[in-house]
Amino acid sequence: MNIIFQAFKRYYSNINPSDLHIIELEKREIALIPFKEERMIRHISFKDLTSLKNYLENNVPLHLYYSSAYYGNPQAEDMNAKCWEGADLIFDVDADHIPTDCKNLHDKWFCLNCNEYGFGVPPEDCPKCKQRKIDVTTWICEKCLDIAKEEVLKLIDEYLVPDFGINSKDIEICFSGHRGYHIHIQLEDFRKLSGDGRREIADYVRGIGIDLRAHGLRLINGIVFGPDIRDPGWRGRIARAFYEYISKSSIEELEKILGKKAELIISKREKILDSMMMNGTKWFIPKGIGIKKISKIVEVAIKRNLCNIDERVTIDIKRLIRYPNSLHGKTGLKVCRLSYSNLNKFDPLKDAVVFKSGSIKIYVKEVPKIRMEDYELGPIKNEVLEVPESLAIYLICKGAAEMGK
Amino acid sequence: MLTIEDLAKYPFLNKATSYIAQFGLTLDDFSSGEFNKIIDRALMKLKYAIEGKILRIDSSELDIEILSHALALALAYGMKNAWIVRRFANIEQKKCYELMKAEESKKLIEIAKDGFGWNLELADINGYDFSMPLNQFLQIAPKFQSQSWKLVNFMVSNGKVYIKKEKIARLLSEAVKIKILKKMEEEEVKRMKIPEELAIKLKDIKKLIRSRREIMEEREVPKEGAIPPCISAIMKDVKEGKPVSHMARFTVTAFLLNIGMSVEEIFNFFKNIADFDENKALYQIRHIAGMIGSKTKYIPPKCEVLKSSGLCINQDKYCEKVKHPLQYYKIRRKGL
Repeated sequence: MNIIFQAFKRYYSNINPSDLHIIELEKREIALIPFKEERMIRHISFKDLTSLKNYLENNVPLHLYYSSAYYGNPQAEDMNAKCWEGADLIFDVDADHIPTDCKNLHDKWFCLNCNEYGFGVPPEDCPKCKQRKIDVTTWICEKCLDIAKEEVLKLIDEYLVPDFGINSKDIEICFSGHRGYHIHIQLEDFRKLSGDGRREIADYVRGIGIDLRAHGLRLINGIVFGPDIRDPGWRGRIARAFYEYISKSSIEELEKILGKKAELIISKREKILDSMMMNGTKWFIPKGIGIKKISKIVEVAIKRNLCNIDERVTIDIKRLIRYPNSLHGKTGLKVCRLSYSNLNKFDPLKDAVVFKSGSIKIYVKEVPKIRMEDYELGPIKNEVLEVPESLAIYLICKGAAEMGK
Repeated sequence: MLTIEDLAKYPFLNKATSYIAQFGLTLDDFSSGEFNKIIDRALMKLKYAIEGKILRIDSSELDIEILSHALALALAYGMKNAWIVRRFANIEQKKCYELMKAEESKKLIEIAKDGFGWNLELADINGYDFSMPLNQFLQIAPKFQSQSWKLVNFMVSNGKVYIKKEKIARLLSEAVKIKILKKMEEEEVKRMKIPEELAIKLKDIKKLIRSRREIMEEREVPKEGAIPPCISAIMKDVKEGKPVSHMARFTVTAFLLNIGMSVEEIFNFFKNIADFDENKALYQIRHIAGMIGSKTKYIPPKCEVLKSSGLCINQDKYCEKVKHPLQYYKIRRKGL
């Protein structure tokens, strides 16, 4: 790990203190995991950026965090004595929480008890020995990162801006340095929200607990009334999802929900869509398809509108979260701060790379197919080879390689 | 415009506070005997609150109405008895809810602004009557357990939540209740002392509280048929001596404590468990009961949390109606 330590030390020695800027630094708890031990060092605080920078230079962190919360006494060890004053609203979008096909190619789990192993999303307990001692090796891949990015855009474009009225200028996005993004809302309006209030926000974007009746879906006198596709919020989202599902789904997909009655929808498809477009709330639904079936279609249809966030991060009002412009100790990549307009063209495997000096000889134990910058590698096993510094650091951080002899 | 009558109806308003302040009265002033009418009315308000009844506003003497409310509340705080403050807060909530439902929309906007700084606006869309800022809505709404109060079931647009008048009345009246309860924790209120002469007049009230509390707090035997399936499942595992996760133990302990089982009873119940450690178990149960440690009496996790930890099993038709295992118990107990 010496090479990693040296590289990280170099990074923190050369960093411009202003790159460590966060809102109200003096009210935040800073925490880090040092190189020597696994234990987290917590409850530290800094009055200004220069003292933080000096500290990091002398206590090089493998991982660096700050509190989403603002405290009166951020350095107090007892949580009650910290004097919580508020917290940023945070959303965590991580490829770990989004099922993707490519995980079968690059994520591997194995059982520490019986050495059984497999690929893709890890099981809770070992299928062979039933023990819960599963270790996981996950890899960054472009596909996973793209899906995480799409999820972030969905969260912002479909929820944060139109529904919650948050200006895209007030949304700070951070690439986590690994497989996801953190979205920070630092507006005064949201700071005082309780954990319960934040849970409502998390449930809102995850579509948990929707009551379709509350959004206007009901049967009156044998006629189906639903929300208008032009309505704001979940009302319109429900209507549009239903509209899109009806217009695009195949008979096979509909049969899964409706059985033989799928034919009714297919034959009257145009009429249904027209009624939603023209009449708004008065939906034309063929006789024989009741409100329960419609609800089922809606439930399936809205799935793609739901945001896959890790709700625990949003609900927690005292979360420690990765420090912008710090380095991720499992990848060596930079926790990049992005604006909304920069997100689209951001390529984490290029733009988050900091170590770019020359190449290094390493011994690779086992690696699936990966890319770093423009360099592609793998799948390979037990090989000594020379690779660009960024890739060497990434693989050593992962524990998949050692310095070559 | 908020009138004097409004202040009498909604004495939690900031305007009411400043109206009262102009009289410059302190608790000591009520010892003199000059204000017997106000004192009597205040005592009546306390009596009604204890009995759980709403006392209608007497509009013939508004000043007395306003001042007696403030006095009644001060006495409730001064008695250092959280029970009476809770009763008072509950009855104020009910009273305000009834009054607000009948109020004109424009008036509600003023009440919300003056009382809580909420920015209600009139709206007329999809059957909603008002809109209010999301962050203000979320101060109170999550306290309600029913699904109809989830944010996801409101129309939310551009930072505003659209809401019907009846629900605004519910939200505002709940805020009233919370305001009364929160004040109890203020240092100034904690220091408040009732002068001797007034304390004598509270004798009957104190007697009434005692008799009421006895009736209400007679320890209830947990009704087994009312226990939700998730809790029953854990209890079954415990009885059979199966290993139970930490989260499951916490859930069942907090549940049983909250429906009135004693620490000892729960301790005995857990004795069956395979890895039972007498000292540790007793410590943990007492911790959850709020007797030691952080002194917080815990409640079991919500259904949502139980779901995500895999403890929500064997759901039945009652489960659909509730968001919390204790709510389940409350509903089913009534039917038994």
